[in-house]
Amino acid sequence: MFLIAQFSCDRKTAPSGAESANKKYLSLREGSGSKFGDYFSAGRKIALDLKDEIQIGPKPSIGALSRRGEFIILDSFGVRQILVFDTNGIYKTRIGSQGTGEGQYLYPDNMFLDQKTGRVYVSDGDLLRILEYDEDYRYLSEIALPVYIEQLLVTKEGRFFCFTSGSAGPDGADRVVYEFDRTGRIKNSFLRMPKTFVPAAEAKGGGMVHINDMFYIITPYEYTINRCNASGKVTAQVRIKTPFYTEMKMYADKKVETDLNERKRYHSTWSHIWWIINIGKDCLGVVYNEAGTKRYYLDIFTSDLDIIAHSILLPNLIATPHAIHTAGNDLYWLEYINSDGIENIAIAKYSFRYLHNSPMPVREEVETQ
Amino acid sequence: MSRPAAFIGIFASVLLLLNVLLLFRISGLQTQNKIWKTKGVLNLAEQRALVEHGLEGEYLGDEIELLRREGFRLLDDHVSKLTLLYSFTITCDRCLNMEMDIYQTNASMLDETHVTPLMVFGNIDQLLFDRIVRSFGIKEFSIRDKEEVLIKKFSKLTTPIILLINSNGRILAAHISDYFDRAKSQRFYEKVFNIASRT
Repeated sequence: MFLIAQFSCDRKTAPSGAESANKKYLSLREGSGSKFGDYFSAGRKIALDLKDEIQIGPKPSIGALSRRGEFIILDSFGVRQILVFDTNGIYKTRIGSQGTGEGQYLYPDNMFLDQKTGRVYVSDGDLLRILEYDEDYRYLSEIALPVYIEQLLVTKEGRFFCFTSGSAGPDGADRVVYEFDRTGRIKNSFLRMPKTFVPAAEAKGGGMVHINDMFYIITPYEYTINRCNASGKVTAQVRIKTPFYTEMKMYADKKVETDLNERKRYHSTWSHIWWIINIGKDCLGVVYNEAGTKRYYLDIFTSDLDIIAHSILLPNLIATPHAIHTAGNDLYWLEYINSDGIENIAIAKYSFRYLHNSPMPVREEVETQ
Repeated sequence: MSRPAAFIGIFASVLLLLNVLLLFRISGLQTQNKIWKTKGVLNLAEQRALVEHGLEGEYLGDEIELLRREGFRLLDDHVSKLTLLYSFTITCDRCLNMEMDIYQTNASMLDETHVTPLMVFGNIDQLLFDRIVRSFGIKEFSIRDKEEVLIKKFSKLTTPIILLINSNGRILAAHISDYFDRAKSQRFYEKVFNIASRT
C-alpha cells in the first residue's frame, strides 16, 4: 500500500459549530506543503521613491489600491500618515494628516476603498472614527465608532461592517462582526468568539472577506472559517488542521494572566491566524504563523470552503495586521530592500495562477493495494 | 374567644412579627453586601493608582546598574539629574503612539526643568528598535534593553510605564499608561513639572 497523494485530506463532521450550517472538518495531516512558486508568479518589485521629507514608520502596510492603480500606504506607528504612490512607486500625495481636527487622524490603522465610488474610508483607532474621503482624497465626512475596530468593510450596497478580535465588543457582547450605520449606531452583531478564547490570549489578527455576497470570517484563535450571509447566519463552517498550525491550548499557570514574560511564552506555543484574504475571483486564503516563529503559511480555499493548497510558505514580508493586500489575482505586500546600503521599502507583487475552472491541484488521499 | 383560638391568634401575631424582623434583617444585609462589594473590588483606574503609589519611593538603583552593565553609557550622564525613565514593551502600538505624542508636547518643559528623558525598549529586536527610534526621532536618548531588565522588574505591567527618578535611583513619581485616559498622561507631566520646579 502506498500513498499517491501529496498530502492526506480527511473529512469528518465538525465537532462543534453553528447548527444547520454545512460543517466540515479537514485534517491535512502530512506532507511538507505546497510551494509558493507553484501557485504564484512573481511580478516586479516597485521600490518606493521617497522624497527626502517623507519618512516611513516601522510598520507600514498597503491600505488599498485606487481605481487609478495608485498604492495607498498606511503608516500608523511612529509617523502617522497615509501616502499615495503611483504605479511606479513615485510619491504623489498624502491623504489627511496627523491631528485631531476635521479629516485628521491619530492612528490610521486600517482602511477600505470602495471600488464602485472610489471613496476611501480610513478607520482611526485612537479617535474612534471613520474618515471618508472622495476619489481625489478630499475629506468628506466622519462616522463615529463605538469601539476600536481592526477591519472595516463596506459592501456594494453601502453597508458598513467591522471586525474586532477583542474580548468584548461595543455592546459588551463577545461577537466579532458588527454592522453599523452612518451615525455609528450598531444595527447587528454576529459570530461569537471561540469558546476557547481567554483574555490572556487576546491578539490582533483574523478578519473577514466578502465574496459573492457572503462573509468569510476567522478569528486569530481558532482555525475555523465561518461563512455567513449579510444578516449573520452561518451557512458553512470548516475547521482545519495542517502540519504547521498548532492549536491554542489553555494555559496551566495562572501567571500568564499577569506576567508579560509568561504571556509571551504562552503565545509562542500556538499559531496565530494573521490574515484572511480574497484571492482571484472567488478564492480565499488564510495565513498563520508556525508557533513561536515568524514563518507565515498560506492555505487556499474555494468559496465552497474546499481546500486548493495548503502550507505554502510565504516569502519575507513586513508583518503588520493588514500586511497583505489583494486585488483580483494579484497579491501585494511591502518588503524591505537594500539599495546601495540604504534600507528602502518596495511593493512586491505576486499573481495567483490558479483559475477557477481549472482542475483542483490538490489530490486527496488515494490508497491502492 | 375560646382558648385555642386565642392561642392561634397570638401564635400568628408572633409569626408575623418574626417575619417582619427577618425582612428587615435581610434588607439590612443586602445593603451591607452592596457596600462591601463596592469597597472590596477596585476598578482598573483605582488598581493602577494603587500600583503607582506603591512604586513611589522604591529604589531602582539595581536595575539602573544592570542597564549600565549592558553598556548603556547614556545612563552615566544622568547621575546628577532628574530622569524621566520610560519603559516600553512593544505590546500596544496605540499606547506607544499616545505616550510619544504627549512626550513631544512636553519635551520643551522637560528641557526647561532639566529633566532628562531616557527611553528603554524591551521585548523588541534590534531592527525594529532602530526603525522605531528613527521614526519617532528619539535615537539620542533611547536604549534597547536586551536583557529585559525592566520587563523583569515590571513584568506584571504590560502597558508603558513612566518613572521620574532622582540621581540616587529613587522613584519620585510613577505613571502607568492608560490608553483610554489620555488626560491622565498629561496630568503626570504636570506632576513632573511641579516636582522638578521644586528640586
